[in-house]
Order: sequence, then structure tokens, then C-alpha cells
Amino acid sequence: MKKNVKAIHVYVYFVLTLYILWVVFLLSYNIVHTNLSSFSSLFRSSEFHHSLKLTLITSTITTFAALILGIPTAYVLSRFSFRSKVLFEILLTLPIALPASQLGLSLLIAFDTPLGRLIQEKAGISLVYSGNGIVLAQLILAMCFGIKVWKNAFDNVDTRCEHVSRTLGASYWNTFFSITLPLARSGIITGIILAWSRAAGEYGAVLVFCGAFRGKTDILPISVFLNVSEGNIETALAICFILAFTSMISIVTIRKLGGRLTAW
Amino acid sequence: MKVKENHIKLLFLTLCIFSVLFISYVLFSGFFYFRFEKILGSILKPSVLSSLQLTVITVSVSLILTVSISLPCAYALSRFRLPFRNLIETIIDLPIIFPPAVLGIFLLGIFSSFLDNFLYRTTGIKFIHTAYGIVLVQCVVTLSFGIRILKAVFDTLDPRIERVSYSLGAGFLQTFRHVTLPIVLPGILSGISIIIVRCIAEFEALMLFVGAVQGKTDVLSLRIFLEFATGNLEGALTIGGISILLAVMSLIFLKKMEKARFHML
Repeated sequence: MKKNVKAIHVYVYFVLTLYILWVVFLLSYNIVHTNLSSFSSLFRSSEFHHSLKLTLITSTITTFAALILGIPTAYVLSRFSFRSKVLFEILLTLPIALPASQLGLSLLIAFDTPLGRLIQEKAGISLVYSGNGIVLAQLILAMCFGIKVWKNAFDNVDTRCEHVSRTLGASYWNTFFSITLPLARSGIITGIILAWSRAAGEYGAVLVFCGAFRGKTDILPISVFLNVSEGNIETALAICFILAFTSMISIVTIRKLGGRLTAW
Repeated sequence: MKVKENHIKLLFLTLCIFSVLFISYVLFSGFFYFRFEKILGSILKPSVLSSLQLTVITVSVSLILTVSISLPCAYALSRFRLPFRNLIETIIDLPIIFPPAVLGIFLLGIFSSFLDNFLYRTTGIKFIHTAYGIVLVQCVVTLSFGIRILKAVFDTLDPRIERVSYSLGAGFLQTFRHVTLPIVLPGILSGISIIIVRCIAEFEALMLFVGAVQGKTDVLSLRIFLEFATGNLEGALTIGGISILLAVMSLIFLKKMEKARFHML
């Protein structure tokens, strides 16, 4: 019995060590093999400046839109109870559970049909194969991702605190802003970071919905894709290091906040 | 006062319903513009069936590999006192937050420079542009995720419960069968369904690492892209419908399991 347990412990440590070594190898191998010249030429190219700017703008707009739609939705899912809630939750998880290519295709068909064209005409913006479409494609993913995290954050707030605040005379609105939101703060910030990094790193839906055009729809991941399909792995790797670096900063921030990464 | 509260609730509910309707419109409107018999007719095409078969095979292999690696890791993270715990957890979290495209490129960098040639000479297995590569990518993308989820499952299992069972005279097998397994099982099953969903949905890293090769690496997600790129929207929608159906089924299963898990705690 005792020997058995010891053998299991050794095995478990072995697998864990092996996995950690593999991840470190995966992330660090390419650093050794990239020379600084590809970085310096990347930073000087105007294409890179354009796609960096486009990525920052689109993903920031996306995150704000996701906040406006996502926080109330998450609050409703967490606090209200109604009959079709499970259906709502499944529908709001579906975009993350689908292949990104299918999401892009759905968007393309939804906005390229008579009704979709009518919506675009009435709203006065063109979505298909344009910069506005990038925001839309990112928004769906970032919002669904954020809702998961934010709902979790609201679930973890004790409703009794809200009740106490109400009995002490604070209005519903005041309670929401001065009790619920501050108590759920770390989860909400985690959700914002995750939504932002999701929006900045996703390219599958954008590739199908907006296409990959140099100087028009090339957010950073799309320009990675373009560079790989042209055979410029060096440039693609350099861009990936920038994306990886931002992800590292966000993971350290999230861990400092004590947020959870896997909310499903 | 009362009226104002209801107004705010109504505002929140409206925003919620708006986002649900928006997402359902985007996901399902496509199916009303195409003839159903055409879509049904293209389901039975051999190319669709072969891509479905490839998906089932790769996803099950990746699932077995992922679970068998992440179970011990999750157990260690949950139960043992590890040195540098914070660093280890950060390293394990990294592949979760990295965009899949970045993981795909990093893999491509490693394999195209030496590993693929080396493995081909020693074992005869090639990864780039083959089905082995699909399994590799799916595992790399889901492993850390699986570890985190299974760790959360082990965290909910209080070791004292097992000790109580021992002290009441139950043996190891009896305890495992009647105490440990019923508590852990719903969590593990929900973790498995999340891993399956992630494997089926993986597109970006696959696109970069194996590429969409007709009849060779066309799992569902890549097949959709292939059909779209060749202009066959109906074929793409057919496969899209299958993938939506698979995702919905796994999500319903996940919800059931979560409910069961909630009852256990």
C-alpha cells in the first residue's frame, strides 16, 4: 500500500515536470533562433505600424462594446431567474464553442443576405470586408467570453450585502454601483483583460468575415497569417513575440488580482 | 422608488435579450436562405463523411492524451505542497491565455527548424501538414486548460471525507467506489466535454500549423474554411450545421453535469 502510493507520487511529479519543461521549451525555443535584425526591420516597417494601430483601436472599441452589453447580461444571468435562462446561457456560450471559421461564415451570411444588407443600409455602415466588420467579429467572441467571467464574478458576490444595502435605504442603482460592482471588481477586471486579449489575438472569424487584406483588415494576427502564407516565418515569429509578451503581462496582472482563467 | 428599480431591471433585461437575439440572428439566419433538401443532400457526400470521421478520430486521440497527461498534473497541483508554486501555475496558465495563433506559430517554428526532420528520420512520423499534427495542435491548445479544470475538480474534494470513510471501516476500493468517484465524476465529465468542445472548435492554430489540405487534414473547422474558399457556401453551411449541433449537444451535457456537480457539493 505505502509503496504503491509512493510510486504514484513519483509518477505524478514526473508528468508535471515533463509538462512544465515542454511548455518552457515551446515558448523559449524560438527566442534563441530569432535574430534581432528581424525585430528592428519589423519595427521600422509601416505595415507593422498600421496593423498595430488597427489592432489597438479595434480591440479597445470591442472591449468597450463588450462591457456595455456584457455586464448587464451577466448580471441578469446571475441574479434573475426565469424559465429560458439555460437556453440563454447555451446561446451565449455557443460562439466560443464553435470553430472560428464557422462564426465568420455565419456573420458573412447573416450580413450578406437581403435582410442583412438592409440593416447595413439603414445603419449607414458597411460591415462585410471592412474595418467595421473586424469590430463586429471580435465583439461576439469577446462578449461571450467576458459574460462567462463576469457572471462568475457576480455569482461570487454575496447577495446579503446587497440586501443590507437596500434595507439601509440605498436605491437599486446605488447598490449596483457602490456594492455589487466594487465587490466583483477583480473578476470584472479579469474579464476585461481576457476580452481585450481575446479580441486582439483572434483571427479566424475576421479571416472569413473581413478577409485578409494588407493595409485594410490586417490586425496583428491576420498579418501573422499573411506572413506565414508568404513564407516569412521570421516576421511572423517577431509579431508573435509581441502578442506573447502582452499575454504574459495580462496573465501576471490577472494572477495578482486573484482572478480565475477558466470560467465555463 | 419602486418604479425606478423596475426601469433599471427592464433596461438590463433588454440589453440581455438584445445580445441573445443578436447572437442567434448571426448564428442561425444563414439556414433560412438555403434549401433544406440541398443541405441534407450534401451531408451524405463521402467528402463530408470522411472529414467527420477524421474529426472523431483526432478528437478522441487528443482527448485520451489530454486527460491522461492533465489528470496527474492536476492532482499534483491540487494536493501536493510544491516549491515555486506561483511560478509553476503561471507557466501552466500561459498556453491558456496565449492566442492560438501564437501557439501555432511557435510550434511551426520548432517543428520546421529541426524537430520534424529529426522525428521523421527516427520514427517515420511527420507532423506538419498531417493528421498527427492535428492531434499535436489540439493537445497543445487544450492541455493547460484541462489541467486547470481538473485541478478545480480535485480542489472541491475534501480529503477529510475520504478519511471519514476509512475510519468508518471502508476499504480503499469501497471508499473510491462509493465516496470519491461519485463526487469527482460529474466534474471530470464536464471537464471532458469542455475539452471536446475546444478540440472541435480549434481552427486558428490548425490553420497555421497543418494548413487546410483537401482529403488529408480537413477536420470540420478546416473543412468549413475549404468549402468557403472554393465558393461552396451550401457545403460550408452543411458542415457548419453539424459543428453547431455537436457544440449544442456538448453544452447541454455540460450544463447537466454542472447541475449534478452542484448537487454533490
